[in-house]
Amino acid sequence: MKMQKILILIVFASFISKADISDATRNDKAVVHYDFEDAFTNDSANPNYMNVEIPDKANSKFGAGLTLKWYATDRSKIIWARGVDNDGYLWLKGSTIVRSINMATKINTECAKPTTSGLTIEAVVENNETVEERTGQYPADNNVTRNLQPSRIVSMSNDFTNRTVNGATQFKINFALGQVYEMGDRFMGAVTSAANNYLFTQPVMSSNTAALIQGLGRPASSYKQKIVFTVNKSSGFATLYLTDRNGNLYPAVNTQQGFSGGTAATYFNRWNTSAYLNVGNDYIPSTNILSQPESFKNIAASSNEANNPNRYWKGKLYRLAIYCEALSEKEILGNSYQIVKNEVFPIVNVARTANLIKASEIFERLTGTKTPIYNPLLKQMEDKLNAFDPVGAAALVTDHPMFYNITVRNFANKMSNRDETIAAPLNDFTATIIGAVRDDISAKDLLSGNFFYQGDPSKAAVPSDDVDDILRSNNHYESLDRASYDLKAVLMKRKQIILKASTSNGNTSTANNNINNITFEAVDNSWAAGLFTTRQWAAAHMVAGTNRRAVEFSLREFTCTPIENAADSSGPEDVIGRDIDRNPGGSRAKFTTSCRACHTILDGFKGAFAFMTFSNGFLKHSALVPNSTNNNANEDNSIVMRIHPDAAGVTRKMNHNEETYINGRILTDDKWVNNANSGTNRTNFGWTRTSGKGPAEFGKALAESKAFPRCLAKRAFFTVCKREADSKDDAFIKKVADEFSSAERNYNIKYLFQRIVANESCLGGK
Amino acid sequence: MSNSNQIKVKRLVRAFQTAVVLVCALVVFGNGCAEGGFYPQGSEEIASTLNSSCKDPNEIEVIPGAKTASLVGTTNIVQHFAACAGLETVSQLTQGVYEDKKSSIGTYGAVTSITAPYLMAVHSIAGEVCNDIIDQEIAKGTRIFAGWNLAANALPSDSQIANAAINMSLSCWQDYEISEEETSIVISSIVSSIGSNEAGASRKAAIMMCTSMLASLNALLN
Repeated sequence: MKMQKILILIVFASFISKADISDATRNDKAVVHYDFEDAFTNDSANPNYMNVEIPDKANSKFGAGLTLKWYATDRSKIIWARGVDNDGYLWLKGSTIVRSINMATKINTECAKPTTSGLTIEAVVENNETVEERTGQYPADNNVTRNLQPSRIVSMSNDFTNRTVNGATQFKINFALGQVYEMGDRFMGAVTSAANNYLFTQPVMSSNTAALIQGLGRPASSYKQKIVFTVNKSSGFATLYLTDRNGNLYPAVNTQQGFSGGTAATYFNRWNTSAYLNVGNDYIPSTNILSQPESFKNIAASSNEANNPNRYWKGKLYRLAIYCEALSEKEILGNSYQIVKNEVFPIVNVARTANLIKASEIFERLTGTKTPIYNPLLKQMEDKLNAFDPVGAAALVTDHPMFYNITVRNFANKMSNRDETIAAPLNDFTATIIGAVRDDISAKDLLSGNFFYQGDPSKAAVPSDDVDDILRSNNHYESLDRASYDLKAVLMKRKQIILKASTSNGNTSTANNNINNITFEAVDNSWAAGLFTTRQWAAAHMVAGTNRRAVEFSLREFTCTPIENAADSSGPEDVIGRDIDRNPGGSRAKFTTSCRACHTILDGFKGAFAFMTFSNGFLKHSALVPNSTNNNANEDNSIVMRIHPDAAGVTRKMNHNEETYINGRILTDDKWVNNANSGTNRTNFGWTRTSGKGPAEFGKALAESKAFPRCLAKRAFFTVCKREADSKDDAFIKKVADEFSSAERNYNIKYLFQRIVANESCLGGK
Repeated sequence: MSNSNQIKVKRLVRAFQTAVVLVCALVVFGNGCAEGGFYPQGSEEIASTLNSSCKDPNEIEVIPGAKTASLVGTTNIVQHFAACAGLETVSQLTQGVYEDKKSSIGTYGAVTSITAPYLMAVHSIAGEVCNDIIDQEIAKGTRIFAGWNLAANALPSDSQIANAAINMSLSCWQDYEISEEETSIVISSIVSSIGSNEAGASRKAAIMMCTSMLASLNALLN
């Protein structure tokens, strides 16, 4: 049975299409293509030499294949083999060069055509080199500053040594794709529009006759890295696409440097025509290959290392293809490119009735965009309005992609950050609300459910690694944002995950942030509490402080009650922590009237967040990271969570400053008590729970309160009516909230928007 | 004055003070202006007559039954323009201009956020969207600029310009029908700014007309 499940999983996984250039595109458009699938054989006459000839598998319409050949004699520096997935690869293990036997005339001929749109280089590599910064420049000049020089994965160039720096320069390099083995594996691509041009020697190009772009990959590790470098001649845009650890290709960085000195039609006309295609190095004479320096790190000016033209790259090469055109994003990312696309309607004159105008206003408010009056959807909405069904009219729009990308996003984003602004990057908190609205999930579950939403990698070409891009950074969501993905189409629901971090040497000291000793793992989150356990919520409200802010903003965002409005000076004092002075400025009265009123509520609830903190870029749960009672432990730069010796598992910040009032409460677990349940608070909140344990039960208490549906109704009102609901709207808000929380509507946020937008208090009229 | 009268007077004064404070609080916090002063449509006169010491001249009262007018805000301006004009996808260049200019655009689209930098930013973004529309029409056939040769070094005819203005109006002004006067303003401003046989005259005319209409308040309302 277990095996059956595994097989099903494998079959299912094989159907998940990842972003990639399709075989059809490659077969049709690649001018040269090497897949390294053909085994090499040892030269029988010389066991130290291998007959390495790599066939070009590009379409024959581009002419005869450009065969590559190994031009070196050290057999230990080159290996051909197959990987675990049966993919053949060429493994370059040191200074060597594989280059085209003949000049790369077919590339020159094709790219020089005035009709070509640019250049694309596609490579699949694996690099396990240790971290090392490489600086230097060949040939040595007298400049003290050594320029960054990437190791060449591929280049099109001629004799690299035969040139001068000052005076008449013959660089003879047309393009190159390289890598710098420093922290983060930086990949760099560059292409010139002139034969006599600097390429990588001026990383920040002062001359715009070349386009240079560089992008950070991932820390060196044994996984296949796909790189696509593309430059568009007319627009000057260059983009570097990279993959995450899971092989998801995404646009990592782009720039618009452009070219100058002519027109797009002539740019690649000026390339050096006697250049070769080189793999694993630049073009250098064979004699220089063996005299390579072992390291290019901090080489001295005019040293032997500086004078050696080697820029050899070490690693495995699985695929290499060169295209004489700038492939489009759609061609590079395939089906994983479900971005927002506007509909284009034929322009027709329509009768502008009052209800058609109203339909367009509803559309605008629900999508945040203007639509042409001749949009056929408006006519359908008009029919609904004519039939006195405004909610039905609005319901036709809540299926529109912009309802999610703009309106629900703004509604959710405002709750996601401390500044309460909609102008914040997309994040897991906001994406989870958007997904829940799309899937008609009850809003109550948002505060306690075990789920979150992310982009489906088969639909969105963004970095999607659980550890790197979702739990330790906001990369995943910001990338969805930047590329304008259609969130309605690409979001997928998952069980919540949380980061487990451990050290191989058991070290929990302050200096344990050495990535070589740390293992990060994404595990199921047994403490999931909907939005409260998203990275964004933790980053906004559980960073530093005492986690009281998490309580304060929970009340603020989900019951629309600022803490000062809930303050109750009659609340019990015994829940208040040891860090609160009971006689501030020597005045007990001040404590009673000012401090106690808020702290009785905040400290009563704060136990819900006892085991969590946010530091070093991720949400830490004390059960999943090393705990330290060391007072000096530096949480911000380590995986450690500081705890108090008297309260195992509870983040220390919730029990710190104990000397302020030693008889105050020490928090020892995640139990909480509801002290906002007397007097007017009882009516205003309408609670169903007075105590509980952990964030999920806290979330349920909030979601079951009467204030929750009212608050969401007010937030939806603000989003689409463009003003705060005021006292005149109270009756309407209450009515809508009652409907929203009824068994029939079951806290359906989509309905909330539909109901509010079509009402006269929002759009006016009767 | 008797004690009971004194108490009554004190109560009255206190009630009056409370009422003043409440009214001020209601005006300041109770009408949604905390987010930046949204105006009900047609209430501009009210705004100008606000002179209470409690009221910010930029803030207005909510009028029951009136729609609060607002403009497109920073998060959606590009899609707002693109959707009405029928631009399928936005170019990287336009996206880049938006990134450069977005800080000048009000977050929530409050009417009070109209400033000179706002209008300049809106024009810059509208211009790039128009460029994209023209590229799209060159690639896929004309729609807004029906009948225009967008690559020509000559201005289109007056009727072609007028038709394009009507198409833009139907697309992005919605309930506003372009008047003859407005049409003639568009035509004369184009003819007076662009030479009839100037290089790229047709494209320049298209950009000029499209940008001016797209960046107008009619198109910015949201």
